Amino acid sequence: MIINLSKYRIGTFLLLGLSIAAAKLHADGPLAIQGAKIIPIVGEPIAVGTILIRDGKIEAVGKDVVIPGEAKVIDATGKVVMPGFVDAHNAGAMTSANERNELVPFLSVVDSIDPVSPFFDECRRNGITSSAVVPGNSTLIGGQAAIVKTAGQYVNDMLLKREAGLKISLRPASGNRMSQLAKLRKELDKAKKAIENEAKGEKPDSPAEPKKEGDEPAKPTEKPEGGADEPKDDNATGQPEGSGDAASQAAGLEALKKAIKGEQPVYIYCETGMDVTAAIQLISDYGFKPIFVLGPSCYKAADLLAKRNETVILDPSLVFWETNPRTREDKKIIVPQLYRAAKVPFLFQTEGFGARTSLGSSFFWFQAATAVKYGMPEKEALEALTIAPAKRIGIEKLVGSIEVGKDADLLILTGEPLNISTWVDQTIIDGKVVYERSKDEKIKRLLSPVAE
Amino acid sequence: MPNTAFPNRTSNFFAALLVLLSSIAFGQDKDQPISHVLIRAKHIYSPGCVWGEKGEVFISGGKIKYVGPSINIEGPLTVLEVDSLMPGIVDAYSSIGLSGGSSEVSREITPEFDTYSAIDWSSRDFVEAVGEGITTVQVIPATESVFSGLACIVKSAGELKQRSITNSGNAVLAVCSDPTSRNRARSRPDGVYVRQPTNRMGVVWIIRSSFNRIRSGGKVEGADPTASSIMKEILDGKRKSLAVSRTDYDIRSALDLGDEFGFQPTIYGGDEVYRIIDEFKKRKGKVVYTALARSASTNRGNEGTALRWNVPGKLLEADVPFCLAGDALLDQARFAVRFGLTPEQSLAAITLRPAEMLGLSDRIGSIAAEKDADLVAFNGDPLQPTSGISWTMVDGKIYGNDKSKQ
Repeated sequence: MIINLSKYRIGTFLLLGLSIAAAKLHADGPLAIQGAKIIPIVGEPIAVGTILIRDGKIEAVGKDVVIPGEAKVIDATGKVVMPGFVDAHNAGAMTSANERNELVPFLSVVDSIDPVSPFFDECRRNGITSSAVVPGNSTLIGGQAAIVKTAGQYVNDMLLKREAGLKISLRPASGNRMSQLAKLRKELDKAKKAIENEAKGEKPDSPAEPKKEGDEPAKPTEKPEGGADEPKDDNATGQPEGSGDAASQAAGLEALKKAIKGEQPVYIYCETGMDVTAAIQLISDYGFKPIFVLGPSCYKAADLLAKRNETVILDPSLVFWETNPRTREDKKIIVPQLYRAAKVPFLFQTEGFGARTSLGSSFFWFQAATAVKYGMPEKEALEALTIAPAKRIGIEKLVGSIEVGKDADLLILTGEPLNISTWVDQTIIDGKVVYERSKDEKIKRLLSPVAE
Repeated sequence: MPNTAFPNRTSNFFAALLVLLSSIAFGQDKDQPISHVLIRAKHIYSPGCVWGEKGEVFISGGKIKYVGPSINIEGPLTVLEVDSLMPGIVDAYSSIGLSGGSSEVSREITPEFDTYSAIDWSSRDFVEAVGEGITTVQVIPATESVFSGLACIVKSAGELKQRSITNSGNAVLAVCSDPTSRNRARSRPDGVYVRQPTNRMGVVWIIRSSFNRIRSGGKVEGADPTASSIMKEILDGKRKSLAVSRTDYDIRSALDLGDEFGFQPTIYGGDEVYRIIDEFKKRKGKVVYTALARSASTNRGNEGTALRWNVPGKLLEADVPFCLAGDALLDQARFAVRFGLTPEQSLAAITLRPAEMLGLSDRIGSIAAEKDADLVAFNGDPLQPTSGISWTMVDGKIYGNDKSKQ
């Protein structure tokens, strides 16, 4: 009895300790943002309203929200509040966008995310609060994406979704398009066959089935040292490139099976219009759920994409010129206008790390403003920065709009979102202020350049 | 403001009616030069005009004849209604249309090479420039040789014989490390890739020794006499020169050489001018600033190059004459507003300021009577990224954004 009692006591202490820890996690208490114009994205804008945040979630939004006495209040009079931007496709968070090996379905970007990298500083500075981290386009099967919030000390604090999509590129990383597609089909066939065998009750012919941890899917992070960096000499043994060992081969197969079963989408990069045709054929042959990531000239296949009725992700380069090689006729290609005409809904990407085609293309708001310049209604453009990408990557229940019960991922802007003079004044993620312009030393240095 | 080409005292209403009738009667083909045009703008944004006020501009024979809040006019003319109107953009640093290589590789001193004779007039560059609202450009040779050549100033569209708008182009000096970039280690010593200078000391030495030779009555070795005479013109103050210099020490060298030989080169590039801004002001420097075209990306290193965001603000504060130039000039002006300039200052930095730098402010750079009819019409505030260009006018002729065939 006594022993039991003491056990019970220990239990209570433990519980108490846990609840203290939980309370500490939300020690900030409720937070209210007052006096701002609210653009909730879902629902009509509120000219002057209040947002109440508790435990990282939006508790109330409206004109006459009562602010509890204990709430910390941010006075945002004259400012504009909108949901944080959602980036549906970006490799910037990774230390390098692609593995040298082009066939690495077993890899996960989670292993490559550095939470303190300047990329995330820039995200918070520019209003991006959620980001799908997807391997780059220079690959065949480039690994698995993850969705993160853009603030946190460790990757696990930031993760919204692991295994958020498999990256496939139809632009040959090496060789030509024929071999790219042949290699891709070979891998997809293997996975398809494995699924069929399983359905027949046969044992999968993969050498080592990965461990299952409840619902948690196989973690491709268990790859042994050097696995991905093995030289590409394993073709001789008939094994797929880059899967030099049994464990990563199995994990890769598992990832592909999940994609074919529709348990995780496939980010499929098409560089040109002909790649779109190939992608559509692959989708019909293997049945995966695609997320189209499009190169600049894919507009030529806009009619095919229109039939699919899916939101596509556009290349960062939204406006460019083409010269017809035969007639020498110059033509200005306005990508958002062409997709709107074809009734293909789209999302934007930004350019980073120097590969810009225009001054503003590293900023989401500027990309949206460019689309508005060429005829997109502002409301739709703002949706394409928030709720539309959230839906596309399957996190719309958590983020993408200012609605009661959603994560408090908010931007306090100094003015209207697409105005050239508007800055992100504060960024809030999960109810916590993670960026304040008044404390941003980098911006201060940039705006008053002096010799140091 | 009853300033009219055909003085008339009829009421505004009657005039408007006449205008309407006449524009129907004399409905003009857009591809034909329009002789008389009246533009009614809800907002005019131009140096010298009340910022953003409603206004009307009367154009005749490719020139702006009258500008005012309202113009009472009668006669056969075309009326254009626009939301916003600004002067044509002037890009002082461009390589537009320059074909067949832009730097001489066999010699360092080629001041007589002129860009004008190497322009491909049917280049897409011009179509793009017009589409971006650029109406005048200074075409500058690349800076891989020390005396790179002569710049020329041309309109971005129009009849060929009217395209050039100066007789005397700026002489281009590369006071920077660019000329050393041609040299390749380990190539044959007699090959074209091994030349002087192989370092930046040599760049300065070539400029100094050539000017010394000319000053003492000598000639440029192995070159046409024109080369020597152009260099003499620089020394005699008869020809303007520009120095492409980006780092603080290059800018200093350019000014030092100018002092030594009695000329004042305008600095083109000027990335690091903010580091020596007080000295630059004291030495009466002028800068055509091109670094903004490269610095809006925020993912670059957080120091060094990225420090350039509000250099225009610094230049303005120090009262140093400057303009913006280079790629995406309209967007540069927009970002300059974001980074600290007022809209007025920023718009001037791509119109009147570059016109002044080029010594052409009596012809271009603002919407004013007797200036060239170089105008850009927008469907909203020109400095907002959501506003698009409706059309660009060069010398009174309209080039639509969509059908910009010239």
